[in-house]
Amino acid sequence: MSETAIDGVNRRSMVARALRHPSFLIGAAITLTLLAAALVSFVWTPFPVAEVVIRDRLQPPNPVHWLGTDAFGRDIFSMLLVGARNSLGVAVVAVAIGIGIGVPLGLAAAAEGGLLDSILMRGSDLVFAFPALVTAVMITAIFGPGAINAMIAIGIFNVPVFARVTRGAARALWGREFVLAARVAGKTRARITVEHVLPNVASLIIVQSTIQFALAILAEAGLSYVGLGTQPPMPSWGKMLADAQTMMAIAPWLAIVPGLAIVASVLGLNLLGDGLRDVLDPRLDRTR
Amino acid sequence: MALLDIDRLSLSIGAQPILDDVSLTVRAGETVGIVGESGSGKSMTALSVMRLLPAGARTSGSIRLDGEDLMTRSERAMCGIRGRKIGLVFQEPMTALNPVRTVGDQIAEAVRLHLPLGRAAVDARVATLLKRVGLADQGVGPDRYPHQLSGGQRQRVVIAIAIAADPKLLIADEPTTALDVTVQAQILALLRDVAAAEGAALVLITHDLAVVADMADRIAVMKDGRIVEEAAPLALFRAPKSAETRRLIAATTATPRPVPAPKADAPLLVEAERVARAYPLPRARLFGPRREARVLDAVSVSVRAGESAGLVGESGSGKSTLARTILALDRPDGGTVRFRGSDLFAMTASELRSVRPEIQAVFQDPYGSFDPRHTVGRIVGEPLHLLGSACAPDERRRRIVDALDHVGLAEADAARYPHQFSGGQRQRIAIARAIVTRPALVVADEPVSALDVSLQAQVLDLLARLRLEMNLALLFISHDLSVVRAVTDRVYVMQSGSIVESGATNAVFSRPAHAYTRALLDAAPSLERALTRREAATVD
Amino acid sequence: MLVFLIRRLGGLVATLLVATVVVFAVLEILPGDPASLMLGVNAQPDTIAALRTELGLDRPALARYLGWIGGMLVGDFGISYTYRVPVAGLIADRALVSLPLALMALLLSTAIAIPLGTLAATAHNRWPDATVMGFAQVGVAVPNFWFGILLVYLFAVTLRWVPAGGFAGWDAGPAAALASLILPAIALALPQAAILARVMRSALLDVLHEDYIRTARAKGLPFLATVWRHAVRNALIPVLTILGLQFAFLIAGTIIIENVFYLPGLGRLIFQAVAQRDLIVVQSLTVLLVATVVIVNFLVDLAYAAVDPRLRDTGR
Repeated sequence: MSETAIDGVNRRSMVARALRHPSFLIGAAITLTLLAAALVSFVWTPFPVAEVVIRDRLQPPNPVHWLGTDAFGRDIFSMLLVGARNSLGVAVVAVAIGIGIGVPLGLAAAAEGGLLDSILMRGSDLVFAFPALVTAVMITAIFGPGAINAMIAIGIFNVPVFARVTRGAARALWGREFVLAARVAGKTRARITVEHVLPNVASLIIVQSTIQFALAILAEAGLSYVGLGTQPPMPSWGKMLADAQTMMAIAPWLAIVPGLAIVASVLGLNLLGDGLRDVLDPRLDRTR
Repeated sequence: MALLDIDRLSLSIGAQPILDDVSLTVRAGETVGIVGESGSGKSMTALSVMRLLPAGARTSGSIRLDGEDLMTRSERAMCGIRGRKIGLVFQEPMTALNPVRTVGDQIAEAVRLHLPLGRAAVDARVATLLKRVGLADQGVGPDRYPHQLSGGQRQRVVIAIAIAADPKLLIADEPTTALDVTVQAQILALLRDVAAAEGAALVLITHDLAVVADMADRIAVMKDGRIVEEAAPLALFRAPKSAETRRLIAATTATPRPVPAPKADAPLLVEAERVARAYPLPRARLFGPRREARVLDAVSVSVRAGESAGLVGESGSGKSTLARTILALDRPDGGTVRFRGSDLFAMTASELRSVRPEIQAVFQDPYGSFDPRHTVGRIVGEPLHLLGSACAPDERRRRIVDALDHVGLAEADAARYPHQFSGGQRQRIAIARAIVTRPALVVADEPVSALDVSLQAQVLDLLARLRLEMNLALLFISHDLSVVRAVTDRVYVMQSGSIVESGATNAVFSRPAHAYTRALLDAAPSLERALTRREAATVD
Repeated sequence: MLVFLIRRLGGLVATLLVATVVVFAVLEILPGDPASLMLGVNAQPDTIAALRTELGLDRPALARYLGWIGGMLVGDFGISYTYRVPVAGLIADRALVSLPLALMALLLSTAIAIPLGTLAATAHNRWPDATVMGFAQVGVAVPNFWFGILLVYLFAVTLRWVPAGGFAGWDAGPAAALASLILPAIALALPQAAILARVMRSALLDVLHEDYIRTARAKGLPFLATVWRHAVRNALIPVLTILGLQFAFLIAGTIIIENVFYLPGLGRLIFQAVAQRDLIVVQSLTVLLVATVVIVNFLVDLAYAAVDPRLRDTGR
């Protein structure tokens, strides 16, 4: 018998569950659209994003400029595409920082317990005590505003989130009898972590990633809105909203479009997360 | 007229049939037992009577209480019947009470709902109830919270709630399954007393034949949602008519095949000497003294090659902690554990690795002891990595198939996942994993406690067969005296972290020297003893 | 109980202390000398040196740290580098805007979320559940500052019911002051309420599966009475946890929302201070915000003990 034999029934039923799960399907569709928009923006936008054409300023949506233009005559649809790239980029890096540092910390704390565990928990308490925006303000104060610093600020906040989620789930696993059996089988803590603990917390980490991804998009938009995130001329959804606010009375669509983009992205990721939770864990009550 | 008359009750939840044509009557003041294995529909019958079934349940037939059809009552009318006419006692006393409200409050609520009493009268009634269930004598007042009480005390509170409004029918669903054997005897006696004193009928639902044989006037046997036999205890157990009753009796009284005791000069495998273990407790006051809970207090046990040693005690006695220490999973605070003469806790990691193939383990929970993502083959083969390069892929495969074969599983099962097996089969998988390295000793911690009685008999016989075939020594840990008696040569009796008595199993069980051992033996339900007592009563 | 309290209080002080060290150390690394920034590029070196002495910048880091901490303990937060007024007064003025705003948002979100979450759980799998959860799903995804912009557009620009922003000031009377905080509070509260309602619902659903709910039903207690008397209080335990964690987000949200509504609160102050390198204000304000979060979480711990008698006993 092969060590990696996978029961075909299991995997097929997981795909079948996914295809029947409405939130998973809607969430996946929105997320893929977002991804496609971001990728397309690298090779094609209807107009150059930074192109200022004062003559075309503040046009409402029309056949040439599908979503209209802003106060500088820039094409909103083009800015939206590039903004998607920007949001995704910041979110991917911020979540990667969280997973890359948080998950190993959580696994180690659960395996070793004792001092390491206490330090981790107190440390995460400390990070949680700093409102994420305050962290961002401090980082900006040191390094100046920019997308990279937004990634770091959001990423720092993600580290304890992933560490705690991983630790909690891993600790529960360490109390289970199959881990005890692996210890009786003489496996080291590191090996048990790799063979038993990590695979069993993986689905939880994936689900948490979609949630943190959604939060990161919200946070990036907030930071850009107050001018701490992505800097002009690079367009970002938050900055577009900040610019639109002054034009509310004459060009309300400027504020509607980027806002809807944010809501759709976050909603899509959250739906995807809810769906994945059910798809990856058949034991969970679907109706909850 | 019957107090409770269940007529042709059928129940399904979703597409799943649960009960099929169940008819049962209970007369005023009588005690009716319902027995059966898990999934036979016992509990669902009780919940049907209370109309507290889960969502999606569909029922047919009728349930009459005092002539009144409960199936057609409105939900509002049922609220006046629950607690007032029927009291219910559940299996899980640890979770059956609201943790954030006092026990007095929870009992008073049941009184107020049904009896038109003023505040002072309610308080007086609560005090009476606490006295009635024996809590007042234990110093438990109404202002206590559930977490401050033991399991037995909580079950007394649940009984107080059930009888708060003088119901004429009490339904007790496995009321003692989660309790220690000595507490179990007290709670059963209390239920019998309370029902007799209040003139209430008692429906006692249990998997334990000895309990109903002792308590019930009439017993219904359930299997797969049907009542297969109904009779008075003596008739039922002395002259069973249905195959299911015979099967249950056989499983309860079955003894595994005999294994000759090892020679007296068999070498010692494991010697645990004066093992001590304590956990720090939070301080009671800020600058109060440090406190600790002693889990093991200078415990010494030993097992010889080929011997089966038993370790028996109630929950919290330290049995499992001792098992983990002997398995070198937890380091003791004091004392030593030697295996074939060398100290396990003085070994280097690689020395310990060379000893591990010799000591393996089987745990209690047939659901929790496998990684759900691994195939049975991978699970069973897990300890083989200890053999290192001596175990090439071919040899590995041969060993796994061999171990599966030993426990009665097929080679094809290796590619399946644990959730595709039933509880009894899973315990076979756990045993296959334990013998795959051909160990000298298997530590089995409550290996059959989670299983139905018929599966228990099979697993115990399997262990006996493996001892014969492999000259396996066993350290068998259990709270169940009859099981320990059936499978061990020698026994240690453990009470709150200490060994209070030890010796040859037969000697200890027939002539217990320590008061605690005697108490355990007296409290343990025994089918034969219950029947003998009934026969003596009828002869008189 | 006392042990529990003192333990938590000790943790609170420790967290705060570490936070001050982190904040101080981080801002030490900050490039640029405040004195030269304040005086501009044409300042004479000896004028800068004099200002440095006046501000105490020439003292060693440890001395400045201890001076700063010691001052804060007696309410002396130092003198703002830019405004040349005591930082304490500066912060107090702005806090009178931000704190009522955060508090209003907190109360509003709880008042919306707890009943809605309870409704959804008791009507599990029926239409009220689906409706509430649908709104919650969207509500979680709405950025509060965008919601604020939409509120301004609807109620200030289109309907002209309220001013589009700015703060009337407490001198103009509490009614006028509160009126200018209503829209921002709603904008802040909505996404919070969506999260809390979801937590309340799932906590309540978990509790409704507990054995003691069945015990209460078996007594003859009707379903809704069971929910109210036995389930809600137990479900509040996880809700409190989230409430405590969300408070940090609420503070961050307040800082952003103040920008949307042009409110002269702490958020605006911290941005101005960063832009002007007014270190002492940034330091003190950050620590103050952290302190608020930590104290709120301490209050949550107290609330735990009030809700859950098990905590009162174990002294955990």
